[in-house]
This record gives sequence, structure tokens and C-alpha cells, in this order.
Amino acid sequence: MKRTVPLLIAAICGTVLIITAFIPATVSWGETAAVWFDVLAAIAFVLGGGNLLKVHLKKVSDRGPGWAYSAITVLTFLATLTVGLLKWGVPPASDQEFYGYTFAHLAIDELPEELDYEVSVSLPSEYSEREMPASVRSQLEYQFDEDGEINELHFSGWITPGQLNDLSNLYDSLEWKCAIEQLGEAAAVPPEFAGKVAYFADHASLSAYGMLEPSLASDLKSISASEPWTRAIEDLAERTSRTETFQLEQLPEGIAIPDDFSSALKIEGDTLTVTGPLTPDMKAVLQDQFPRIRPSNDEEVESFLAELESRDGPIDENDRNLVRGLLETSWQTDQLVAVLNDAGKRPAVPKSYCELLQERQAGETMLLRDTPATEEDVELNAEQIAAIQEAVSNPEQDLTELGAELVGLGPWIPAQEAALQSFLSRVPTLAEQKRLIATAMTSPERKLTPEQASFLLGDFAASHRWNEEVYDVFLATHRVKYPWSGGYLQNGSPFWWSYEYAFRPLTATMFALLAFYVASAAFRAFRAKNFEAFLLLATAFIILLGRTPAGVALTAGLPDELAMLKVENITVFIMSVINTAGNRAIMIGIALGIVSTSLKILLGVDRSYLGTGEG
Amino acid sequence: MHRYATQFASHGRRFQTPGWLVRLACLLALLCAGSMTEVANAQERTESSSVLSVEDRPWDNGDSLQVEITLSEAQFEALTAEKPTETLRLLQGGAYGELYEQVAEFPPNDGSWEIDEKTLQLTRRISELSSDHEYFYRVLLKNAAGEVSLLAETETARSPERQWFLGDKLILAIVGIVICGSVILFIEIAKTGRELKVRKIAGLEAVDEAVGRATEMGRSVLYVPGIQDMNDIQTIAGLNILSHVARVAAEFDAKVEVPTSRALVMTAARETLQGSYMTAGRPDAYMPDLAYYVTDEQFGYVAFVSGKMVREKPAACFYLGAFFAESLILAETGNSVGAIQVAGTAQPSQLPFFVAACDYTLIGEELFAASAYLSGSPEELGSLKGQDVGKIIAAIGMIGGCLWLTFSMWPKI
Repeated sequence: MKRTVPLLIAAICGTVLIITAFIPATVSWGETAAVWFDVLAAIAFVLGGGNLLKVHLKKVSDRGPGWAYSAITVLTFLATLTVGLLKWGVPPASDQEFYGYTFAHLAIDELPEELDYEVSVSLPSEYSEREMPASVRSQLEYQFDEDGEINELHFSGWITPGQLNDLSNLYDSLEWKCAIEQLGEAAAVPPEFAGKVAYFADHASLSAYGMLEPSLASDLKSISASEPWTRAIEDLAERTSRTETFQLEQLPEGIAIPDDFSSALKIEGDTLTVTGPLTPDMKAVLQDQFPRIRPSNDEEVESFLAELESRDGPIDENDRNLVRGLLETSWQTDQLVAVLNDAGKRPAVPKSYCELLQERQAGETMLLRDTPATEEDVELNAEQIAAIQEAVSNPEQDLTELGAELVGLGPWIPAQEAALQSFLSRVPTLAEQKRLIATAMTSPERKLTPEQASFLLGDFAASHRWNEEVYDVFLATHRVKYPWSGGYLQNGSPFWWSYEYAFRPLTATMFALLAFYVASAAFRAFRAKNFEAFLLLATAFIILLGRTPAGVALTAGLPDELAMLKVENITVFIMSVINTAGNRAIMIGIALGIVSTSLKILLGVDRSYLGTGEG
Repeated sequence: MHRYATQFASHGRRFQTPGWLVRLACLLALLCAGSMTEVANAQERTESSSVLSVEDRPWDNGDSLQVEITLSEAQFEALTAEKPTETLRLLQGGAYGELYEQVAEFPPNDGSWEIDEKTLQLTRRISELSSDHEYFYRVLLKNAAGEVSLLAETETARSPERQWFLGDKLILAIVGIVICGSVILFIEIAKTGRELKVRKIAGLEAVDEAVGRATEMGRSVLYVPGIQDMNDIQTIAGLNILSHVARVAAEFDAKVEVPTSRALVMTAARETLQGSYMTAGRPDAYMPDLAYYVTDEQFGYVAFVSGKMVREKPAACFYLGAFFAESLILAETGNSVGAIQVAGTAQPSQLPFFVAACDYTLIGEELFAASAYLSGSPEELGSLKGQDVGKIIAAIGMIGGCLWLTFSMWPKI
């Protein structure tokens, strides 16, 4: 019995895996068998760890030969296991965490009636046949009339864009998509709360983004007087009103906090006070405190070069040209004008699904998703372009405020304002530009003097330190939701450290031994003891010659008619014809051997791997 | 077949409610004559307009449809000219007359369009579809002036359907059945008592010698079953040979150590060892710790085994299983301590290293034949003869292929 059961399991699993290769309906069987194998391997892995401990602890206990190696093995095994399992020093995974969000428990059945949304629809019963997307299953219900048709969609809580997308993609028809569109409008977060509050059904939580201001909390409370709802809002308000202060060491000069964040962020001297979690938006604004580059004119380029020359160290003509090139090719006003004109082109307006449905019902069969833009494209006029050129050449002017000036000089649309801000946010900072110059000027032969390095890299070092400080504040104010979500091999963790600085060098050392072993094995293999060994030696000699420049040079003088006798061509012939033929013969034999062995195992003819079948 | 075809016609779909008998008949028809199936397929086409025909792709996993567009001569020339003046767009929608999305365009042809100059047809496979979704298609033609016109459309929904057998793998199935059948046939012939001649394999003849040497020297035998898990057939072949080595060692009272790189291999090796010791009549000599787990890491394992060889100097080393870069490190270390070494693997790239550094090497198929060879049982030896049939098929295929290719190119040469 002890032998029969494993044989049966092997036979069944093997047969199933063969069948799944040919019969599509059984593919899932193969996947199940593979999962079972993984489960078994995982259990065996624990068994292996236990065995490793047992064998080595016994050796240490017995003081057997090499017991010190065993002691080191046990210690490193336990240390690695501890830091790996506990994810010691590993920060939470950034794609799992809800940075800037604070959560308060509110189950779906605790949601107030005011957050129940109903949309009247008229959909045939077939639309209830497919399984609802997992993201909305707990919040959406269909209501049916006496004919079995869906006459109402009932949704609890606010719908998220992801849920809306999942639902819309459930069926392709316009009547379904229109119904979901209506539901999306009805169950959307009210405009006054949009982007500030959300409901996550998967987490059974109401959440606030950043600080929940008292007025907002009050407005939220006014939605319903239900106890769980009020408790959740109070909970959120309390958690997001916690204040933390941080002493900053590298505060940039003239740091400014935008009005939008003034209630959550305050700077007094070198102290930063943060109320609630620091959101990614706040982090970006805080970090963006360093001036960005503008197009440089000749005077500014020469001034920069003069300043660089005044630092201790030689500047030759190559360096001058390099610096000039980098300063002059930063960005040009024409580029900004082109971007703004491009943003002024009116895009086609997509129709809503309900509009498309109406068109369809009116008899249209060639439906088009987009409506061509009716408004005329906006292009910058001469006055606006002149204003841009002037603003760009004036270092005192804040380019982010340029839109306010341009709107008075000609047509200016929100898309252009967004394009302007996006363009400016992508422009490198002065510190980044100087670092680029430092990198370009540095080579193995050319090192920067300390003064030059200080001039070119000082600003970047300061901005880097400031970014790090802000990031520390960001992490310190974050309410960690999944503390163990980070990967155990994350950079900087103890596990990563041991892997990077202990395991990898040791592995590479073992692998490097191969180079010496190849030499010693080749020495033995190529001794011309008999004719076969001589053939082997001769072939190896030709291949070696063909792969070295000396070998190629040896037959370089042969005329084209005798090109086939050149060493490199003989090498290619041996490798691609003779070697490939031999390899394929071995591969065919191996494939047949695998088929035969597998069959013997499936049929139970060969049971020696189970310790039976012999003698 | 008549009832089958009628049913399709009435429902506007293929393979609506096929019974097992009909499916079997279809498979037989496919096996016997491909042309017959083509005729049947042609009969089954229930929806085919003059320009657009959408069919389920036969004998597939139910994830693709075949779209066939028949063009007029002028359209075909305009689309396939060196500088095409028109563009054809294929659109797909989930509901008739509603929103359609473009799924393909011609030209350009990235190889996914089949062009038939005789029938003026363009054919394309639309993949990654779901069998529980319905699909509608439209073909639009954009002329040189940029005007777009509807060329054709399907008005009935099409859904891909999963067939019970993957037609792409038919040849593989036939070859597999022939080889497996011949293996089984020769096993049965061997059972009747007919003598089968098998050539000598020096590496396996040396097993007794190697274990005997270890006994005489009072040293252990080291057995390495590769570094792969139990789902690798080479590991299983290695354990098959272990059972014989362990039996001989048990008879000679030599110690066999099996360090493993996978925990599952360790448990399997223990079973093998235990069985062999029992077969040899020495159950008392068996110790579970003869097979133990080292590490999954390739070079960690190599470091351990190499260190062990240098410290304990085993008299015989067996490397039988799946090996990669560690093959030469292990074999050279074994060579340096003076052990008699037998190696075998089905990794062709590692064979030269074993040949160079070991006393005996089982090359490729010999690793799989070893178990049968060592056991000497007629059933297992029969399987080796079955393999030979496969070799004959491969040889015929190669020679036939070479001749066919040569003669097909002959006029051009």
C-alpha cells in the first residue's frame, strides 16, 4: 500500500498532464496538479529546513569534523530566516499603501440610507446572468419587476472610478453602459467632497485624503445623523487633526507654502508643523523649492563660464564648448510656444453612452464615439508670444504666473494653462543642470577640483538633502496600512544587505572557480592518447584559433576563392554543422529516453525510485 | 452528419449541441482525410456574405475567430499594390450596430493577414476572444480621398467555441501514440520471454567496481542526484540508478551519502535508500540521515559538496541527474581527491565537462536507459527496444525531409 498509493498518484497526475496538453477543456486540471506540486514542495521545504538544522546541530553537538562550518551554517540560517520572515527593516510597499489617506471603519451595512443610490433602468433579465465584478459585488443589487426585467440598480456608498470601469465593461451593449453611466452620475462623490473623501468597500472604511478640515467634517455629518456615520467622521477628524512637528536642517531659502495647504502645513523658523498625513501632492510642492533653468543668452553663458573659471582649476577650450553646449540647449522659448499652441487645438469630445444610445434608437447604425470639436483652435497671438519671450528672459519673473498675464493679451484656455504648468514642472532645476555639467566634465583623466565640485555639485547636494528630509517627514506622518507589504529583498533592508554583500560575492567566488577547472579539465581532455583524442585536440585547436584575432590574422591572406579555408570560416562550419548535428542526435535520444522513462513510471513498470522493483 | 449539419443551419452557429459520437466521427474524419473535413466545414458555413465571412477557428481552445474578406478585383489591386491607395479596416463590436473598435488594418501586413490572389481573399485570425462573449464585425474601406465606406458587416453574433481537441498538436499526438505504442508493444513482447540484446554501457558496468573500491578503502560513496526537483525526469532517472547503487552498497556494507538540493528529492531519496537496503536484506544498516538536504542555491550546494569531498575524500562519486554550471566544479573536485567518478545527464551542454573530468559518462539517453539496464528485467529492457522505433521514425523523417527539400529545390538549383 505504501508503494501503491504514490504509484497511483504519479500515474494519475502524469496522465492528466499529458491529456491537458491536447484537450483544452482539461487545462485547469493540469494547473490544479501544478498547484498541488507547489503545495507539496512548500511543505517539503519546511521539512528540508528542519533536516538542515537537525544534521548541523547534531554535528555541532558531536564536535564532528568540520563542526565549525555547521555552526556557521546554523547561525546564518537562523539569522536569514529571522530577518526574511519578519521583513525586518523593510518599508511597506508603495503600491500597496494609501499614502495621504486616513481610514475609519465603516462597514457597508453601516452606511447611512442617504448614501443608498437607486437608478431606474429597463434592462432585460439577461443582464443579470454574468457574475458581477468582485469590486462591486458587495455594493450593487439588481431590482427586478414582475416580468423579470431589471428595473432598478441599487448601489450602497459612493462609487469609485475603478468600480465604474469594471461595471461598464461587464457587457458591451449601449443600454447597459448607459445604465451604468447613470449609476455613476448618481453615486458619484458629491463635488464638494471629491478628491477629499472616499469610501472603500473592500476595506470597509471611509477615508479622508490629507487633513479633514472642520468645515468639511461638519458638511459630511450633515449628510446623515446615523451613529456609525457620525462616529466614522469624528474618528477621521480626530486622526487627521493630529499635529506633528519636525526640525528641519536644510530649509531652502524663501520656501513658500501654497494657500491650498496652509491649514495643514506651517513653517516657523526651521520647524515644520504638519497636521494630518503629508499627502503626495504636499510632498511634491514642498520638494519643488529650487529654481528651474531658463534659456540662457550669450551673456549668461559667459558669466557662468567666468564663475567656473574663478574656481581653482583649469578650464580648457573643450570644457568651454561643453558647458556652452549644455547651457544653450536646455530649452527654448519656441518649444514652449509650440507646446502651448499644441494644447490650444480643441480635441474631439467623446459622447456619453446615453447620447450614443439615443442616436442608436433614432436609427443611426454608424455610431461614432467622438464628436468633432466645434470650437475653433486657439493659437498664441504675437502679443502673447512677445510676452512669453520677455518673461522667459527676465530672471525675476515667476513663469508659473505667466498664464495670468497671457489671458489678458488674447485667447487662453484651461488646456493651455495645464500645458504651461506641465511644461515648467518637467524643466530641470538649476542644480540638476550644474550636476549634468559636472558629470560631463568628469572623466577618468579629468577630475574636478574641490572648488569646482563645490560650485557645480553644491546646489544639487542641498536639494537632495532637502528631498530626503521631506521624504522622511512624508513617511513619518503616513498612517501605515500594511506594515508587511514590502518585498523582503527591498534595497537597504538587512536581508538585502546580507544578500548583496555576503551571498552574491560568495556565489560569484564559487562560479569563478570554473575558469580554473575548465583549464585543468581541458589539459587532461586534450592529451592525444589515441586517434579520437587527437581529433578532439585538433578540433579544439581550430575553434580556439578561430575565436582569437591571431587565428583570424593567420589565414587573412587567403584569396576569396579559398575563403572557406579561413580559420574563422572553418570554425563556423564546425560549430554550425558538425557540432549541431551531434547535439541534435543527443537531443533526439534524450527526448525518446524521456518518453520511455515517463511511460514506465506511468505504467508502474519502473518503481526503483520508490525503492522497489529490483531484486 | 446530416442531422448535425441541419442543426447548425437552423441555429446559425457551428457545433451547437454536438454529441460524443459526432465528435468522434469528426476526429476520425480529420485523421483520415483533411480534405473531407474541409468539405464538411464548407457545408457548415451558415453565415457567409459575398465579402465577409466570420467562422470559428476549428480545433482550437475557443479563443479565436477566422475572418475572411472577399474583395472585388479593383479593391484587391488597390489594397495590395506596391503603393496602396486604399485602406481596409476591420472593426469588432459587442452588440450589433453599436460601438465598434478597430482590431486590424490592411495594409500594412505584418504577417497576420493571409492573401489569396486567386480568390481575392484576405484572411485573418482574431485572437484573445472569450467564448462567452458575442462578437460582430464590420469592414470599412477608406479610399484615397479619405472617405470611409462600409464594405460589409455581420448581422449575426459570432462566438468562438472550444473544441475538445487541439488540432495544432495532432502530429505530436500521432507521433507520441506511435512511440508509446511501440514501447508498450516491446514490453509485452519481452514479457513473453523473448531474449532482447542490449549493448554494454561501460559506465553502468563500473558501478559495482566503484562501490567495491569504496568498501575496500573504507571510504564513503557520494551520490549527487542533480540540482533539480522531483518534477524533472532527470532527477527521477538519477534516483532510479540510486536504488541500484544503494543496493550494491548495502550488500558490500559501504556507506552511501546523498546530499540533495531540493527537500522533495531528499524525501524521495530516503524512500529509495530504504527500499534498496531492504531489498539487499540489510534494513538494519539503513539510516534516514544518509540522504539530507543542503540548500536550493546552486553554488551554495556546490560549495557544500565540494567541501565535503575535499574533507572526507569519498572513494566513488556518482553525478546522475540534471546539472548546470556546477558540473565541472563537482567533477574536477572529485577528480582531485582521486575518486572514481560516474556521471550522467541529459543536459547536452554539460556532457563535455563530465566526459573530460569523469571516468565514465552516461550520455543523454543512457541516463534514462540505466535503470532498465541495471535491473535487467525483461519489461524494462523492452522499453529500450521501443525507443529504437522512435529513432527509426526520426531517421526516416530526417532522410525523407532532406530528400524532399533537395528535390523540391532541384529545378531552382
